[in-house]
Parts: sequence; C-alpha cells; structure tokens
Amino acid sequence: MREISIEDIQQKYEGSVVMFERRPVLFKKIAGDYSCRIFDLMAQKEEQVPFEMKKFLPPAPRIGMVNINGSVVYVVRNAIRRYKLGLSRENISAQAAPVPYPDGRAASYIGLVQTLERKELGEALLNKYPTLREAARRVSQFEGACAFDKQFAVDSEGEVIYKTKVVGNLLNGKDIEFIKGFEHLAILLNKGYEKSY
Amino acid sequence: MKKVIELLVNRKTDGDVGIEIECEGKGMIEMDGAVWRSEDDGSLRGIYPQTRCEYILTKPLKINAVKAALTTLKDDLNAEGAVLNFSYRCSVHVHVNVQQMQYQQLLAMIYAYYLLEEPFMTYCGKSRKGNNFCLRLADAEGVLDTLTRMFEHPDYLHAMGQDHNRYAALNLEAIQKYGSLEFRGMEGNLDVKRIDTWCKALVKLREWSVKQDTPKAVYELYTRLGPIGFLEDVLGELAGDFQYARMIKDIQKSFSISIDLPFSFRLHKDEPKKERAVDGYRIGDILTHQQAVELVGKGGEVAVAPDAPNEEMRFAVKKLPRPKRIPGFAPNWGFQPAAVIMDDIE
Repeated sequence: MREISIEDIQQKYEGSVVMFERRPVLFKKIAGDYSCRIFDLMAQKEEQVPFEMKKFLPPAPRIGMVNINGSVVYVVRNAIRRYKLGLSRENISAQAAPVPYPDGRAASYIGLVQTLERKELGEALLNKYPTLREAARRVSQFEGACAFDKQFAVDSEGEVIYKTKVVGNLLNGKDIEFIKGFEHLAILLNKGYEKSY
Repeated sequence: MKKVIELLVNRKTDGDVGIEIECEGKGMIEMDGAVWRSEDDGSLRGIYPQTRCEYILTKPLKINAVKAALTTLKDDLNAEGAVLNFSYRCSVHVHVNVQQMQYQQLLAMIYAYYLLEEPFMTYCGKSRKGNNFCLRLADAEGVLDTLTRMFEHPDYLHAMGQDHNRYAALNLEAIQKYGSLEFRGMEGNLDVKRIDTWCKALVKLREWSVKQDTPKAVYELYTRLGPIGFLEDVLGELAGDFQYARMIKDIQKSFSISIDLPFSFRLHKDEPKKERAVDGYRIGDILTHQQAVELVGKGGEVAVAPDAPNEEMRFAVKKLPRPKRIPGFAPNWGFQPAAVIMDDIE
C-alpha cells in the first residue's frame, strides 16, 4: 500500500513549488500511476518523474526579494489553512519595492512571480543574489532596482530598500548610510546573516 | 501596563501548561478522567477512538506535575494494549499560560521564542521543519505582519483574525481564545522525558521573559551575549538539550528575520479612563445659572464653584444626571453576551 493516496498528493502538492533533488520545481500534476509532471524553475523545462514522498521537500525557508525584469518584488509565505507542502498562489503574498516605475509595471511583475514558473523565483529560493557592488553596477544602467540580499535592494536613485521600505542611501557605489531610525539594520549586512540558506 | 488577562478578559486559569497529543495507531481508548480526556480529530487518519485519537489534559497543570501525568497516560494506553503509530499528521501541542504576564513581557517572550525558534524546532523533530501544520517564521514570514501590529499596540490582540496564523509553529490566536501561547512544533510522540523537557523549556522561557520586561531588552541582551550565550541564559541547565551543529547560523538567521519586532514595540502606558459625559456635561464643568437649572432639572447636581471665573459662570457640575434609556433599545437576551464567549472557551 502506498504511503499517500493520489487525492492527498493532489491536495498537498499540485500547484505548489517544492524542492526536488535540491531544485525548486512547480509540481504540476500527479497521474494515476504515481508519475508526476514537474516544471524545473531553473532549467525552465518540464519533466515526468515517479512520485516518491521523500524526494519532494518543502522549499528552503524564506523567499524574500525576487529580482525580476530590473525590478524587485518582496515575497512572503503566510501560515494559512491550505494543505500545500510548498508555495502556492494562495499562500504567498508579494509586494513591489517602493521604486517609482512607470504605471502598472510593478503590478505586472507581481503577476509574473505568482505564475510560480519564473526562474527568478527559483533564484530567490536558492538564495542567489548579486553582490552589492554588482547590484549597484546593474541599476546604474537602467531605471529600476536590484536586490543583493534576501531583504535588501538598491535602486537607480541610489536608495537602499529593506523589504518594502527605503531605509538608506548608497554612497560611492559600495557604502550604505542608513536613515535615522534604521541604523540597527546595519548588523544584518555586516554579518551576512542571510548568506547561508 | 495591563496583564494579558485584563486585556482580554479570559477565564482565569491556574496551571502552567495544557497538552494535546494527537495519536494514530490501534487499540486506543476513550478517556474522560480527572487528568486526561479524549477527543476526535478530523485531521488524523482512522476511526475514533480505536485508530485515531487526541488526548488532552482535562485542565492545565503546574509544570512539576507534567511528568506524572504523561506517565499515567502512557501506562493507561499500554495497559489497554494500544499500539501508537505517529505519522506526519500527528503532533504534540503545548499551551503555556500567559494570562498573568504584562503585555510587554508577553512580547518579550514571543520575540525570545522567535530568536530561538530553530533550536526549539530542531528539538521538536526534523520532520517538523517546513511542516504545514507548524510553520516557522522563516517558512511563513507573513506572520510578521500580525506580529508587527501586536508589537505596535496591544489593542491589536482583539482584532486578530481566525486561521491567519493558526498553522504557525507558535499560534498567537490562542492568546485571545485561552490566554495562552500555543506551541505546535513537537512531532507526535509519547516520550515522557522528551515532552516533559519541552514543557519545562517553554515555562523557563516564560519565567525568563518576565524578568526581561521588554522586547528591546531581549534584543540588547542577545546582541551582547550572542547566540549560544543567549540560549544558555534563557534555558539554563536545559540549554544542552537544544544545541546542535548548525545552531549559531540558524539563530543568526532568526535574528535577521525578526529584527523588526523589538523596533516596532512601543511602550503604551495605561491610558486614564475617559471622563463620562451625559448630555454634554462632565463632572467639574463650569456652568451658567441657566445651565445649572437645566442640569438639576434632569436629575444632576451642582455646587458653587470655588474658583469660578466670573459672576456669570459660577456653578460646577457635581453629579451627572442618569443617562436616558431608549425604550426597546436593550433587548432582553436572557443571558450576558460575555457568557457566550466563556462557554466557547469551555
């Protein structure tokens, strides 16, 4: 007898992003023969694999900043009553960074993240971010923002964003001056607490 | 600062902890005793009570009585020949009574818990990390929204909705319902020593938090002591049970994710009661002669004001008239609305 029924798999896994062999994948569909269709976020391709409960794990904790099309969206999971192992449209919420983009641009980026198929979401789950210096270089070339940590981003105006708030300014492309009341955040960057997920 | 019980008007509870143990297996029995009772739980597989059953402490116990109660439950089930098989659906929930804590002490406890959530959850079982029924702050960062509001103002306790955070490893909604913090992290088991240690650690966390007084004090202590020193300070001789190889990095991440909390905290002194006004009059208001006559006509009382500003304004309100009742406004429900809430808690 199987450890889990097809109905339970549908309820718990389908439509959610989980980790499979250390890769973030969107679990699309389970078939009657316990084969399942998954979509690899990093490789951007679909695969058919046999279902084994121990191989499908919850995604790495914390989503955080997602770099997408020169913009930044801050994504969190909510502890709601939905029986999904991974991230689904129902259990995540996303907010655009406070960057003055042309109308509608930020909303469309949130929509892209919520498709749960974007490589950029996979990169956030794998904690892949450019360095501060690289992020600063990128935003000097276009109008937008770029995250360099799960919680921090920099925009083209040189403003430093923490989650969804402007908290400081980038000086000479590498040093950050925090606005009064946010100085305590410096410890998070100095110690690199978010680098080892 | 007010105590939780004063803020929420919970039914007063004396014990330290309440325990719920969800079981799957076979040969289980119904219980309705002085220490344990049983309940059906639809999230488990099987048929109640033989193959699925939840055992709940009949009333909260003092921490030093927990071990004996767990031993009794284990012995009773063994005597009936029950075979327990704890699946991923099963868990052990512990409610810690926080009714007598002042609000800022409760916040200090919540913040300290989040700093130590990783060692706590590691102790609770590997399978519990990322588990849908007990999500850590790192798994469900959305809980921070609720927490931030709670830390900003105690009034938010009343506005906390149902089911938004119930499946977090620390269920905050139990504060409003029972005056407790519900820790949902522990995996299903009936290991007396393990559950007893878990309960002791949580009660130690509560006692320690009362001494710290505010979340900011907890933050300052953490930044001074570092992860290991902080764990030892909170848990004392139990700290060794909660240490593991990657613990320092894990606590540092918890510090990072929860850093907004101590800085959201505002100390709200108890606000003085607002003076009652009836028909626009308040005790001590200065009145003209004509206003004084009107007030007395409505059943109020006035006195000559000792510090009257002028000859015209020389009366002060001494007693307010009784507020007018609008016929039919207060229906006869036959019960007090508060009693309904109490029954729900029962």
